[in-house]
Amino acid sequence: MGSPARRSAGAVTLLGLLVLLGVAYVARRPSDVAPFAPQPAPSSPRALALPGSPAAPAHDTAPPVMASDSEGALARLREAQLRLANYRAFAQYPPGSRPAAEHPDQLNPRASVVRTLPLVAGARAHDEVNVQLGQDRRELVGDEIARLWIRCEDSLGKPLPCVVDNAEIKSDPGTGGAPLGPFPVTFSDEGRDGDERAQDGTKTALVQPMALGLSRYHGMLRVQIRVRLGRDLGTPFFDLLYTGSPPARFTGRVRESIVDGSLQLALGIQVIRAGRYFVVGRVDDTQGKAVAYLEWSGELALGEGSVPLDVFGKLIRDQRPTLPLFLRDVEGYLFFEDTTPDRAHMPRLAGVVHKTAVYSLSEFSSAEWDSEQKRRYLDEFEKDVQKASGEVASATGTAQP
Amino acid sequence: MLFTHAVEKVLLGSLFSLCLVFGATETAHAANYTLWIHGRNPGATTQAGNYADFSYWGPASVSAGVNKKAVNWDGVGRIADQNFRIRDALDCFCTGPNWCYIAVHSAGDLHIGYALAQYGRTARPKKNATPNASGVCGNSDGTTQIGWNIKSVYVASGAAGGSELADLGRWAVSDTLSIDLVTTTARAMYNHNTTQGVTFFRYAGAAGTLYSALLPGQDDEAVSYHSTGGVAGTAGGSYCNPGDWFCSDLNTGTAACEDGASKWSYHTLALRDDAEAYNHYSAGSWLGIIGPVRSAIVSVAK
Repeated sequence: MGSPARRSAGAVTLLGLLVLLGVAYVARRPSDVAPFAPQPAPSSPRALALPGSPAAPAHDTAPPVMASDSEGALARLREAQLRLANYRAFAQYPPGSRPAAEHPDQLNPRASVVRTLPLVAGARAHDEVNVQLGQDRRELVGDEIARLWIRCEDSLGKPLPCVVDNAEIKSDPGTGGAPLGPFPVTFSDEGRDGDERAQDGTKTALVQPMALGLSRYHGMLRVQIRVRLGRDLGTPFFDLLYTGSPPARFTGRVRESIVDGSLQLALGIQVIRAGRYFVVGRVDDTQGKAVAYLEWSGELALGEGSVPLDVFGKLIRDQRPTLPLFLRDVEGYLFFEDTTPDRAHMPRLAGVVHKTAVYSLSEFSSAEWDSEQKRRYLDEFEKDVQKASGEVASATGTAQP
Repeated sequence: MLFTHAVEKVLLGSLFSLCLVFGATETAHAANYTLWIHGRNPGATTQAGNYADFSYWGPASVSAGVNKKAVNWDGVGRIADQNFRIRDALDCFCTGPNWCYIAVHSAGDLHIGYALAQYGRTARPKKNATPNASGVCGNSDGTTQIGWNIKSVYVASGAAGGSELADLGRWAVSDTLSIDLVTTTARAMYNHNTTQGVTFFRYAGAAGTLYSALLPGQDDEAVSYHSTGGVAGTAGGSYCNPGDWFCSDLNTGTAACEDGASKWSYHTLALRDDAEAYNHYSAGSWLGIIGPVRSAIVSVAK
């Protein structure tokens, strides 16, 4: 036990500490609450390549392994700058209205899907024999028909005379429910029933699940094939996602208007099953240039309604399209959380769906997208750049410009 | 004296409480976390919902980024069925004032990509970063936010583009995840360009030999460069390190491949394994392509 005087001194010291802590705490709060004032990047950042751009130097993209504090600090700064630059580029436009160039593999949903695999017989893969598997679609709805083809080739692409011994379609065991099938599938090279050219080595089949009595099925269907080349037997397969009864249908009607400086294309939709939907569409200009990739997701109630696909004003201004614009290849599905299959497709609207009026570019807003999410991200990423820049200055003993 | 003593006790108590409150408030105000999402795991060795169980990766004592958390799932189920485990973790640690660095391996790439594309624009409940035994955290203030707070994603041997080993039926039928890993299925599962503006740093290994006859181009014994390198398209392709005349170069960064094929947007190839030094597997010790990802995370995720 100390003397009263010492205890009093201790109490005063503690009181002082409390005051200091309180001051420190209060002093910190504003920076946690108030938006961080954006600071210029500490070192003049190099022209950081935008995502998807064709020629970003590798050193601008890698957070490398560090050997020293200064290298570590530099790497953190470089990554923080890249992260900020990427996000700034992204956040010019809203998530649902994107430049077409950002979605290169989503622009042609009607393009065939083609895989090339080695012919695997037992445990042995043929070095010189490939099996090309093509399908004109992955998803089918209602009475739609999928065209599938198979072709054996040597390493130079020359067709080889393989034979389809057997092919059958059945429900995917991973989907659950009672197994359906198998039903036989016929591949032929006769220049008919979907086969483009007779005796060219490409064997084709048409698959229509509804015709097989699967109209109530929803899930993956697997077309399993036994293909033989000489004594070698391979077992490739195709997977198709089938929705027997679509949850909604597009009416085909599109109402266009300018809303808040953006072009809104409201798609008519007849909803049979309420829930959370995803709808996507592509926009080209009158010269065929891909302009925008549009996506909407949200809840839809039963009955007739509409889905707004927005072509963001600044996106139109920046892309400088030749108007009118054309909305094409619209697709949609009802999304199910935490279950497989996680979606029930709607019949797509293939090709051009809507031609817009001709507008002057000045009718559209040049303002960037804004949202709480965007400000949250930019605040944090700007803080990261500032912090990393301070670390570089400390580690290298140099003041950052 | 008694008064002074009482004051001292009160002050000491207050100081202690304030320190606790201050510390807790600091944690509640701004903490960074590093989430590790594993890949296919037919051994089912991890405990789903236990964020301290790093058994998939290696010793938990190894540094792996600030406030590291292991995001475990069953390792064999379909992506859509198991993705709630990933969203639980993202809600827990990457909402409110908290931010996350995400590291993924193999099919963990599909999980984070799927979460961002399918749920990244939904309202997320802000959580308190204190999980229960199932890996679910309590609500913090009852409010929501759009999307999660993610700084970057680091992808070790990403299988978001699928693997031909699934196309060729090399994995057990009972392992239903293999259905999702078919190249065309993995690539159609969600729009891989939709990362909500979050940058994916991809690390692609090339030390594969065992399945080189089955996997096109360069591979790490489980996944080919077309997937690990983030090459866009509806199916896989053959991509290699520079120098192979019969195979298109997989270029680093965001640059398109030699044959013109582009990468998924916001994905950048941070490491191409020119020395063919990294395979797919952690070997229970943070090895293979996971090694350089861990090193980068340790340096960056502070």
